[in-house]
Amino acid sequence: MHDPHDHSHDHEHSHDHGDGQDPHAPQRDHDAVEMSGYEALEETLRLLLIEKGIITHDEVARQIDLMDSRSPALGAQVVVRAWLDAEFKGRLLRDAREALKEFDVDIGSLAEFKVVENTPETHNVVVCTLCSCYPKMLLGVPPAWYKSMAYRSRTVIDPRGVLTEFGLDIPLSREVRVHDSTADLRYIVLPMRPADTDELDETALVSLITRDCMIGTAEPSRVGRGA
Amino acid sequence: MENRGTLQIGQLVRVDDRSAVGHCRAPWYLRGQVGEIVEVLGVFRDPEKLAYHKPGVPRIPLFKVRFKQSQIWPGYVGSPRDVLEADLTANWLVSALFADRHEKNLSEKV
Repeated sequence: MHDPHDHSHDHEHSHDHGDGQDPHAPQRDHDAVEMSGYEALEETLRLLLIEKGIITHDEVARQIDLMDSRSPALGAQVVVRAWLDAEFKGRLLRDAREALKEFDVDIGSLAEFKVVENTPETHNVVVCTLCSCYPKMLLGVPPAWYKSMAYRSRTVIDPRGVLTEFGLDIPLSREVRVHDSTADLRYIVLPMRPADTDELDETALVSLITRDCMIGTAEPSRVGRGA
Repeated sequence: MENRGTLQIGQLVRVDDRSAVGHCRAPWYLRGQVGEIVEVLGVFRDPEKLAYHKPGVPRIPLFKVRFKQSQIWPGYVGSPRDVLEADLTANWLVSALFADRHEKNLSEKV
């Protein structure tokens, strides 16, 4: 029988270890729902790797912290920079990976990356029909709906219908361009700057940009944002 | 498919309509469809090999291909201008001209 305390503890803990619960273990979102086969597989594999000394609890916890530390706020800063600086925007659209070196982004682990620009002629929307590829480095963890079968299948078949359900009606005069991220590239949408925002400073502009604006299921708006 | 190395921007390509066992990154809904190459994205390790812990080399060229929505989906609701773009590896693409000629040759032989 494995003693959960036979690994070395070189860090401080204020919490109790005597309850048999691992305080570092990833928390499940729905503990009222029975664990799925994949969740059980993940837990078994993780505990085995830790028991064999290949990874540590702390490494798992740090990786979760890293994932949680990324949020759409980073993507919004990049968008505003592009709105305010045409030269940066040009570089961002040409070679996003290179342009993003100026931001606090983990470039080393950044997948190939592409920014697609919304214009009065074209609206872009991103989906991954094969799995759930998502620009985590700039937007954080994807929302549950992005990974749902409904979004993944319907966005390619009926993008305008899906966008309408998100409250976004694109006129027929404007092309809808769906990006199915089937390979190594990750996509983020550069939304259009709303009208009547000339007097807003950078912070106020950032607050207009939601995660969905950068997936392409919303457009930035001053309405309802208190700006 | 001896023309694989010559794919370039502006060229019409057909996504190969073959079935594949295991992991593959050419979606079913695009197989057999004709699109236009709009960007050459570089060379990448083969996902069909990587998925099985193989190195996936030599790397294969990756292309951004643009499809007309109204061509992919019969009865598509939207604008005839609406498009879909997907990133597809060279081993799934055949020059549409070549593919159509090939199909014609086959049908003439029957």
